[in-house]
Amino acid sequence: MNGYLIKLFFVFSFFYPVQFLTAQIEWPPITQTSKPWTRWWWQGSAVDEPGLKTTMKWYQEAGLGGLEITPIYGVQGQEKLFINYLTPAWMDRFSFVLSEAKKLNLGIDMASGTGWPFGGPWVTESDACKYFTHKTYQLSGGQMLRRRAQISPGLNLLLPLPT
Amino acid sequence: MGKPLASAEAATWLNEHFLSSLADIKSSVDQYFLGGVNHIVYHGTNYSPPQATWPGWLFYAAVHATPANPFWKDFKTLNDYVARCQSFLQQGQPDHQVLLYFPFADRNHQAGRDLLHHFDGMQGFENTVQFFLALDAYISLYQSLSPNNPFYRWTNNIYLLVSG
Repeated sequence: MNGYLIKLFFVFSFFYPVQFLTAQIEWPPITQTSKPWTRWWWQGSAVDEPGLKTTMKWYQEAGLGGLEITPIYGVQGQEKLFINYLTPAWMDRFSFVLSEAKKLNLGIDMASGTGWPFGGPWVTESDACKYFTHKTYQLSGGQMLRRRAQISPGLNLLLPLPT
Repeated sequence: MGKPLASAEAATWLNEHFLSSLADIKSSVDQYFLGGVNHIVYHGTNYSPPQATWPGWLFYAAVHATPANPFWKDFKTLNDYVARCQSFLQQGQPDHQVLLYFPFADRNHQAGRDLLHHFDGMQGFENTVQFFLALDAYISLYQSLSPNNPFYRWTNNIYLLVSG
């Protein structure tokens, strides 16, 4: 039966060649989601309304569809401009971004925290990233390490002490 | 699973600062498309106050998609290309519920000092497509065999292994 239908299809396709040839695939409409997005680093979250307004327009004109806000450490010497993450001042700038984005048809997304890797004070030591490190101590025979080895200030490591 | 978008952080660090061209980014993006990604997120447009002196505030990752970059005046051409590709790729239906890039485990076993592996432009995963073609061949074979065939049991085990 299937074979019959396929033959039938081929027979009839010869009668309608123009229709088959002119059937073009149409490009789907370009939406905010079909455009590429970009991670939008906010150094020290030192953003202000005039700067946001200008740069967001530039991003939109360059064909970007959305911005993923990721606050991170700030630029040295600009400390007085830093805004603490999620404080009322920060939320004011964020609301401004949302209203501008609406006007420009830009999507706004956020990372799940600040910095890289993303995090914040709610990530406790037991869940935080860990790494191995080492330090060499020169000891003469019979000598003992009397203190815990210190790798960096505030980071004491337990080492098997030579006996 | 069942999501319409497969997103990827793209073009993070292709070359030294300001040396990556739009062509480098395009070649990286094309490989993401081949690898099943249909929503590109560039890794970096650093906010810089418009009045900051050139090159403005920059982030450490070396592909700077910022207005200060000389490629910015042509950036839209690349972005329009990405949007046109994605407008099609986002209409697609996934063939598999899970996509695991191969050989991911091998990469995790490589000794070295990097704490985080980078796979820009799907580097190292070039064989993923071949793996899935082989997988599809297995599945077709399995579906074509009768349960009485002694080969059936063996392919059945493989099929269960890969389909979880």
